[in-house]
Amino acid sequence: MNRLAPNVPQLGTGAPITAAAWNRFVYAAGFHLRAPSALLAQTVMQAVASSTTTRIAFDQALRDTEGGHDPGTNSSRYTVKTAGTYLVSTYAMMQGSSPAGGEESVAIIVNEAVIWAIHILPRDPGITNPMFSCTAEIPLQVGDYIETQLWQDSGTAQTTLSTSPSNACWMGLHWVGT
Amino acid sequence: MTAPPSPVTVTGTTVFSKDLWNNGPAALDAWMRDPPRTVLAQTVAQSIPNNADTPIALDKVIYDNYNGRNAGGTTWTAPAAGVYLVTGLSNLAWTGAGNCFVGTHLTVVGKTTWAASEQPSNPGPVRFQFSLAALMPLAAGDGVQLRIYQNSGTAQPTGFVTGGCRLTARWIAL
Repeated sequence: MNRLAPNVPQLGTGAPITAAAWNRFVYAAGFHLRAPSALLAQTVMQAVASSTTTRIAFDQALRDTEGGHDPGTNSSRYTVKTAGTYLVSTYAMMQGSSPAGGEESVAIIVNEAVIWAIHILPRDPGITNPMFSCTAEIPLQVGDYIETQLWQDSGTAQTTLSTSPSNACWMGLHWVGT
Repeated sequence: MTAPPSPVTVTGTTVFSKDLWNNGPAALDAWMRDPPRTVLAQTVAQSIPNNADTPIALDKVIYDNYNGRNAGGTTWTAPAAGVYLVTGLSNLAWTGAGNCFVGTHLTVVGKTTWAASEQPSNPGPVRFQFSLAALMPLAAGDGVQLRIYQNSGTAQPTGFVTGGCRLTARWIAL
């Protein structure tokens, strides 16, 4: 579903408050109360290969007001239907690994090109299961897609630790302005 | 400085006027769509001295609808009172030693640090990147900074692998 961002017009002197103007206000009120948003979750563990970027596959949408997520095709993506600025937040957890000294990270990436937020942890075998989160405010156009990207360079594949909606990697986003 | 619109109540047989409309529904919608906000980024490397909590110079303005960024790019000034959602992303290239630590802070100048992440440098990665977010109650004129601290013993540069430092702020409520 594609929606236009609201725009209630200013009126000039003597201009009547027409039905069209009033209805644009009603549309704006409804839009602001229920702006485009999504909350995607992973409930099935996923392999995270060593030294290869891995995008988290989200098999469930706990919320998706615009239909920007398809669990069957490119399930790692949320594709923007309404242009604007979005607050995006993500959380991930995966198996700990060794040896010490490398990196593990989670990032928010747009169009497989631009990383808007990232949190890196140095690999420490003392950390049983690294967990990360990051947040960014991102200007987006219709058709842009947002993903959560994992990285680890331990030398062997690890897995995410998602098992249910209450124990999941997730990504949430919300339209917050033009 | 600015303030969110404040529509007036009406009584009796008050007739809708242009001003009632423009200062009410139209102004509220415009404010909600585009409240005071900014998206700033760093594109030029900055030296972070040893043992000093250093404001990051954000030289690139991606968005700043009330021109709140100062000339040096180290501070964004809130144009209206309210609660703001502030996010920060740090990037510090690292050639320092172990047994030190690196921190990132979201701070209101002269007031409060609202978010921080600090991490030991051992085992040491090649860079430190933290993502922070905080809700901050700000007065008009308050200055917000993204700061990096490190105590490696020598200066360390900010980095740009996967993107440089960023700061965003958005008014969300009174």
